[in-house]
Amino acid sequence: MATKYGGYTGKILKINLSDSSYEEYPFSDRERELYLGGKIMAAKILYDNIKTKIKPLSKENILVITTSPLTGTGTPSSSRFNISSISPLTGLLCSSNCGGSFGFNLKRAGYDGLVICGKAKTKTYLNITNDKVEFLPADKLWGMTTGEAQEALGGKSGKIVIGPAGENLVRYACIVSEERAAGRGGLGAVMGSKNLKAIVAQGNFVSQAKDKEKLKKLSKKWVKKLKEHPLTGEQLPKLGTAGLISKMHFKNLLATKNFSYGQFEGHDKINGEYMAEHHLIKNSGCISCPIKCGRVVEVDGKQVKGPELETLGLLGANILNDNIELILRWNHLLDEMGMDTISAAGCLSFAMELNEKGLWKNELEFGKTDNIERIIKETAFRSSAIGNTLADGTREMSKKFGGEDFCISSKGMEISAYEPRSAVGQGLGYAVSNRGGCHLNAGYLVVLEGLGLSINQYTHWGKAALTVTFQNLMEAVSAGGNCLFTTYAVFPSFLIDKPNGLITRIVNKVMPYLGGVLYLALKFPQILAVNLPFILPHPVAINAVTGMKLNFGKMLRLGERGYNLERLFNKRMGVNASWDALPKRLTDELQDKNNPKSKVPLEKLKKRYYKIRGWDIDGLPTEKLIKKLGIE
Amino acid sequence: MATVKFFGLLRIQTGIAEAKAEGKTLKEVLYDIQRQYPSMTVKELKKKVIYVNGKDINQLKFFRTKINPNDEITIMSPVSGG
Ligand code: SF4
Repeated sequence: MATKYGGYTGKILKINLSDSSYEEYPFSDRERELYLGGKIMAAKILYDNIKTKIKPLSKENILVITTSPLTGTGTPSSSRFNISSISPLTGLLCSSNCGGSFGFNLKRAGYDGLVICGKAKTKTYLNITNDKVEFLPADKLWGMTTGEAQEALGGKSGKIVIGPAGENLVRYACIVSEERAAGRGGLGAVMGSKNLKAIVAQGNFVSQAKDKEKLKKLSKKWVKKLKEHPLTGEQLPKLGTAGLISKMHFKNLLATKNFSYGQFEGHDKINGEYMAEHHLIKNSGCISCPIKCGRVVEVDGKQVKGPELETLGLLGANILNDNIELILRWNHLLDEMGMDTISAAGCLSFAMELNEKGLWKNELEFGKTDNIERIIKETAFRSSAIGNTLADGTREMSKKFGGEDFCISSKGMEISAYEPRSAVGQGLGYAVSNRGGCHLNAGYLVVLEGLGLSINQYTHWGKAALTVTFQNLMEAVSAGGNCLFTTYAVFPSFLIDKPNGLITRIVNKVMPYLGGVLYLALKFPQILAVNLPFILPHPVAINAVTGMKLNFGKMLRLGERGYNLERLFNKRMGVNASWDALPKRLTDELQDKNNPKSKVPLEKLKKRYYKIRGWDIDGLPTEKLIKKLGIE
Repeated sequence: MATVKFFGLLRIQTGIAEAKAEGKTLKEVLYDIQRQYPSMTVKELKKKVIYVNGKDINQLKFFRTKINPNDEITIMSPVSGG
C-alpha cells in the first residue's frame, strides 16, 4: 500500500509461520497520521488483531516489529526499532525498543514493519530480502547463544535472534540485535514459542525524506546541540548511564537489598567512574547516534558490551554485591543467554529475601556471589528446580511462596533500579505504566526528582501532571523513531550546568506547582501549537521527513493517543485500577524512619493521575476521551 | 581536615578521586582544593552538585555551610538520565 508520506516504505508484511505464507498488511495514511510508527503503530496493529484475552505463549499471540518514519534517515539517534506483543511476564501489551541495525535493514528490505502470526512446525528462521521471504530451518542455530547465532548467520544484514532463554520460554527472555536488546517483557519467549530463532533482513530500498534540505540543516544543528549539551555530549558518552549510580546513592534512590533501602555503601565500587577508570575500553553506540552511550569492556579477553546503570544497581546494590568484575561477567552472560538483566536480577533479589525470611529455602543469599553464574545458566535452560522457578518471574514466585509485600514488581514486571520511596512521582509511574515496572514507560520523573533536577522528591504536588506529560511526550518521541535519550537535551544546559544557580533553584521550587498549567496544556494541546526546534527538534524532523504537519501540542496529543490505546488494549486483557499497584514495602513502609514522607502515597497520586488522564475511577479511558483521541 | 570525594566527569578529567582539605566553611574548603589542585577552580567547583555528610548544600547554607574536620564532602559533576 503506497503512501503519500515520506520516510515510510509504505509496506508492512504479515507473515504466517503456521503455513509459511506472507502477504501485505494494510495500513492506511490516515492510520499513519494517527499512530505514526514504532510502538504506537504496533499497538494499533495488536489492537485490531487481538480482541480477547489470549495466552501470551500460544500461537494466537502476534509479534509486531515496527520501524518509525525517522528510521534510516540519518537523523540523530534514529536507528532504533520497536517490538511489541503480549508479554508472557505481565500478560499485557509490551513494547520493547532496541538499538542495533535490524530496524535500519528492515527498512532497506522495503518494510515499515512485520506482523508475525502463528507457529512454525519446525525450528525456523526467516530471511527477508526485498520482496522475498524465506522460511529456513534453524535446527543448527537452536541452542546457540545470541552471539553464536548472529555469527553463524554471518553477513552484513540486520538480524534479531533469541538465545537459550527464549527457546526455553523464560518469561523475561529478550530479543537481541548485535549487542543491543529489546530487553523487557519476555518477547524472546514469544519468538521461542513460535519456533522462531531469528529474523534476517536486507535489501536496497532507500528511505526518502520529503524535504531533504530542511532535514539536513536540522540534523546538523541537532547533532551540534546534542554534542554541546552536558548530558548528551559529556555524561552519557564518557560515563554511560552508569554515571548515575553514585548520584542515586546520595539521593536515596539506589535500590538496595531488594529495595529495603535507597543507599549502598559500596556504590563507589560499582559506579560509572570506577568502570571508566578500571574497565572501559571505549564507548560505543547505535547507528547514526552522536551520543554513543554504550560501554565496551573486556570479559575473558573478549571485548563485550558493558552494563547499564539498571544492571549495575540491581546486580550490585540490590543483592549486596560490590564486585563490578562479576557484574560485567554476569551482564555478558545474560546477553548471551538472551535474558533481560533487570528482571533476572529482580528475581534473584526476591529469591534471596524469600530465603532470608524462611519462605523458600534455596541457595541464594544476599552478598553471596559464587553461585550466581551457574544459577543464571540454569535459569536460561530451566535445567534445575531453582532455575526453573526463577525463569517464571517474581509474580509467579510470590504465588508459590508468598512475600507479596516485598515482591518488587508492577503488573508482573520487575521494577528497575530506582528506589521510588525517594522519588514518589517515579513510584506513581511504575504503578500506572502500561508495561509494568519500567522506568521509562513510567514517565521517568526521577530525572526531575533528583537526577537532572532536584524538585521535592517526596511531595505529591504536580507529580501526576508531570508524569502524564512526560509519558505522552516520550511515547510520541519513541513512535517517531528517536532514542529517548535525545529528550534529555530538552532541559536547558544552564539548569544542568548550574545546580546551585538561582534560576535552577527557582525552577526546582516552582515546578511541582505547575500541575494546573500542565493540566490545561494537556487538555488543550492546541495552545502549544508551536515548534521550538532548539528545545524539541523531534516534530520538526518528523515534518521534514514525512511532510506531516506536527508541532509540540500535536506531539503531546499523539503520545496521549498511543498511551490510551495501549491502556485500552490492556483493558481487554483485564486491566483496571487494581492493577496499578506497588508492593506494600514501597507504599506502606517508610524508607527513612525519620521521614514520614518517605513512601509512595499511591492512592492519592493515582486519583489525580486518572483525573488528568480523563480516566474513570476504575482507571479506564472514557468513551468521550476515546472519541476525542480519534481511536477507532 | 575534611575528606573530599570527587565523582562524575570532574573525577575522570582530573584523575583525582579523593583529597583532604581545610576550611571552616565550604567556601574555604573549595579555596583549599583550588590551592592544592589548580585545575579545579572555585568558580568551576561551585557549579557542581555538592553534599556535606550526604546532605545537599541546597538544604544547608550553601557555600557558607560550616565544615568540621571529620566531615565528608562530596563534589559531583551534574548527571541526568539512563
Ligand atoms: S543514546 Fe545510546 S541507546 Fe540511544 S541511540 Fe545513542 S547509543 Fe543507542
